[in-house]
Amino acid sequence: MNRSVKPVPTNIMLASFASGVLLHIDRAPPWCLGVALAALIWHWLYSRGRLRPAATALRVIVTLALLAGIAATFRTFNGLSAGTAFLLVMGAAKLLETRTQRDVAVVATVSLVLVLAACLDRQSLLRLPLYLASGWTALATIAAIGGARTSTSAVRAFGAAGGALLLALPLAALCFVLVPRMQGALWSMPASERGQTGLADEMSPGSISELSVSEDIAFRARFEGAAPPVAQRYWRGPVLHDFDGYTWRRQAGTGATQQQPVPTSAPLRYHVLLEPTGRVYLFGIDSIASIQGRRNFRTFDGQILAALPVTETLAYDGVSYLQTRFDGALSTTGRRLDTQLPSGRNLRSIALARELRARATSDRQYSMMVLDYFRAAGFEYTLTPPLLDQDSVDDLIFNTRRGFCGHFASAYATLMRAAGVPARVVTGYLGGAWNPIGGYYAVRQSQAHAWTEIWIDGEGWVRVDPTAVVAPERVQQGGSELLARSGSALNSLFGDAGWLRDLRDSWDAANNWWQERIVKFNRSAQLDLLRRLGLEHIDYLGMALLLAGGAVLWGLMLWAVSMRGPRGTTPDALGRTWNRFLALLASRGIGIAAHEGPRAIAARAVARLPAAAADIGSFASRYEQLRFGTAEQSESAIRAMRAQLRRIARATTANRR
Amino acid sequence: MAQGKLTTGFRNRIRDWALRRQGADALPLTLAARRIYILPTRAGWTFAMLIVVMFIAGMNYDNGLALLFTFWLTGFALVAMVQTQRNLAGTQLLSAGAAPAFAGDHVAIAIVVSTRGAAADLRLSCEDAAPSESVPASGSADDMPQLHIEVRRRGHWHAPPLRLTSTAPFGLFRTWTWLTLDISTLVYPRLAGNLAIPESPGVDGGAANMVNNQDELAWLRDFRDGDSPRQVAWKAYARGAPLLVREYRGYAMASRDFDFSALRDPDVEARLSQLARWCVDAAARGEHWTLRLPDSPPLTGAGPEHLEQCLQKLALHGMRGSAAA
Repeated sequence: MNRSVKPVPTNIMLASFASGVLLHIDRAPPWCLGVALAALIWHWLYSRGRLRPAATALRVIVTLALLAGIAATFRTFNGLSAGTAFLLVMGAAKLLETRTQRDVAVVATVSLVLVLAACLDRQSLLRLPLYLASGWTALATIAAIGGARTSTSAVRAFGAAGGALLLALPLAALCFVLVPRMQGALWSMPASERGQTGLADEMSPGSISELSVSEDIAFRARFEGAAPPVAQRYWRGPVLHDFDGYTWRRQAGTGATQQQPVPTSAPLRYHVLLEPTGRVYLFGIDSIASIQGRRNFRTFDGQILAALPVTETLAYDGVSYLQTRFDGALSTTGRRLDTQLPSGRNLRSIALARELRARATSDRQYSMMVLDYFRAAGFEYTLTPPLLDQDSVDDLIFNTRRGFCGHFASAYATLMRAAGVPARVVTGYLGGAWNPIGGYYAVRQSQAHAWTEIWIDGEGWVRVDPTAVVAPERVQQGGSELLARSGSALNSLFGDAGWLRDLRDSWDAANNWWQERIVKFNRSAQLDLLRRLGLEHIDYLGMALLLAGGAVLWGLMLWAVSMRGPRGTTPDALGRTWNRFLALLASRGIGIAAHEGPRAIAARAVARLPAAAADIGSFASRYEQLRFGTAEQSESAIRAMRAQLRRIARATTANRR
Repeated sequence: MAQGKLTTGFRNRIRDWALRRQGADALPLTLAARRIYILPTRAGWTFAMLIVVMFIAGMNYDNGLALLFTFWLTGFALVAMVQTQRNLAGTQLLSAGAAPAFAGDHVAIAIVVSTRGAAADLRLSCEDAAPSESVPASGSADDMPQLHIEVRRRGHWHAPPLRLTSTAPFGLFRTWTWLTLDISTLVYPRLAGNLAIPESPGVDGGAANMVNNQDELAWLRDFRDGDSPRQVAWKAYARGAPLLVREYRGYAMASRDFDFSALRDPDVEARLSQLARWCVDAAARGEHWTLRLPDSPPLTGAGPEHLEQCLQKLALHGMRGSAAA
């Protein structure tokens, strides 16, 4: 076959691979990107005749070297990152030998797989246009080499690919909804090792206020029934026990026996879509009874930890109770754990605590007295607290008096412990802004919060939020309104513009829909959707039948669409005669261009076939007159033209040599 | 296409079955779906593999976006299949023709097709013939797939079963139909022989007369059927004038005599080749000649039509049906 003589559609192929590379530009190893870029430039120069083709030996050596490079970088070819890097360098190596149509097809295929890798890697709505553009370009590359034509224009190739993609979309949607999903993975993948923003394992003064300038979504929540008021929406996260005078840390071991809360109110059910954190914490309304959707376990201090770090957006359902009580006493180890303080640190605070405790009749009263002290001491709640020295609590209480929620929680817990009251710091989020477009609460990193829990004999663990007395509005309104006054860059630019908030809500709602309905469309989401479509008891067979029926409908639609379009009209007698003339010319090696009129065709034919020149010229003239002129189309005229045609055929045979 | 003998034999058997099933074709012909076949190309199989791999990856990562992408590509492939099939389905074959050729040369077959909407991307091929050049006409109003088939022996020639193929628009599928069109033509004797052209008895060489003729242009008149093309004022025609013919004063004839029996070569084919060569040469010079073959009256004349008659006689010499024009 003469496929290889067709020119390679260089530009569109390079665009396809380049767009595939672009999707991974911030994640792939720099040397892989360098190799891909070099190959693109090399091929571009080569296609313009500036470079000679690479020798086979060189290509083999380069390919082996690149494979060795991948092996050295990743120590494996398995997993997404290594696989992506592998694709990048192999696509680059292929560009060194792209001469035939099949090579082009390989490059286009590599580009498509690069898009898939990008889909597996990141699924944000913002990146979707990139994926679309890249996939479209790859398919246009396939279209550019698809037919027998010697060359296909880029516009035509993109048009063909885009048209087919549009026609394919209904089937894609149908399959997406109806192809049964599995529960769990076929084989395990290496977890991605990326740092995400969010609450950390430890809390130092200022660590939460750093977080609070971020408008990133931490998670979205939807309540079944009425949502609790904002002041009750304490989303419980990491619980911190170890204090070194400056930083609070999680307790490594278990240490203490479990203190299970007993619910005393109606259960609160909600659905959470957690953005990737890279950590194991699952957030729920305090106090969390159970979480379903990801394998998890409960620690002694009531945290819910996922079995594996949350590296992708995670959807789960939670059940919580706003009111609980604790039966029984705190174990000795538990008491010891939550009353210890670093020796020789924050001495003034400890002295203050002892003094206040001496005046109080009970732990309960003491805890109220400390809150009163906080209220009266004139503390200032600020997003930009001054740096504290190593005795951070002393520095805060007696010196700077300005702090963020973490500062007050740390100080309060210290004062409690100094008086022998078990206390721990709880981090998490408080509040969440209602998104009216999406119908959910968006909890942002700026709403990160820290509070304390103290053990009161007879009552159990009691939540005390010292920030509530220092800055009641923080607890009443949630973080973002406060932030507006503190002045984030965006808000100081636009003020608290309503349209800006609407825009943000809309975008966020779209994102949420995208994450929840498309990216996280797993088995349970599928069943949920089918249930809401009224197909509650559908089984695999039913889904298969539904899928088949939908596919048949789609096929009919496709058939109808492809039947449409300007049908070549059946030619009349004159047209048929003219077509015979064209066929005759074609058989004599004279092709006809679309733009050519009868006269131009005739002039060209005469030049090539001088033996039949007279008949060709007269035939064309007659056709012109009959078709476009005033002459009447008659049978005799057609017969005369056919006679001419025969003469042309005869005359041009003998002279082919 | 490099294919094993076994597959080729198998393919031929399928083709023969299909040809028996659909019978002979008469033009104009609208290609119906039942005679159109379609299979993935190599690129198509690769694409299918890609979809399977993507599906497994998407399932494994439980990633909706990757699955959506996979399903979209699946739909794309199916659209490609339908679109490829539609290149042939409903396409009308309006006319087909082949020009006579000399043995040892190629017969050119061309089919005029009328397609739906945008010009289809068709290729004509023939599995029986030696690897042949097939030229898709690009960008023409009516696509005209062409095929050149080598011919070796003179006489009547009938086109073998042809295959009309398309892989457009994506090259993922190849659709084809087998055609048994009644395309026939004559194959003239091989142009061969290096004997000097026989002089015409008793008349001066024609060349001198021709030169004289060219000198004395008398007038231009309207074109009439049968006028010699050499006398048409082509430059004027290209400028938009009607067809005009130059009239010359005086026209002297030279006549040569090409006699089959006068040749001594024992091989009949070689003699026919020599005669064909002379006829062609004489026609090229615009000369007058007489062809004498045994068992048929001598043909005397000049010009393309005379040449055509002579070559037909030579092509069919000694064959059944040679009496037919």
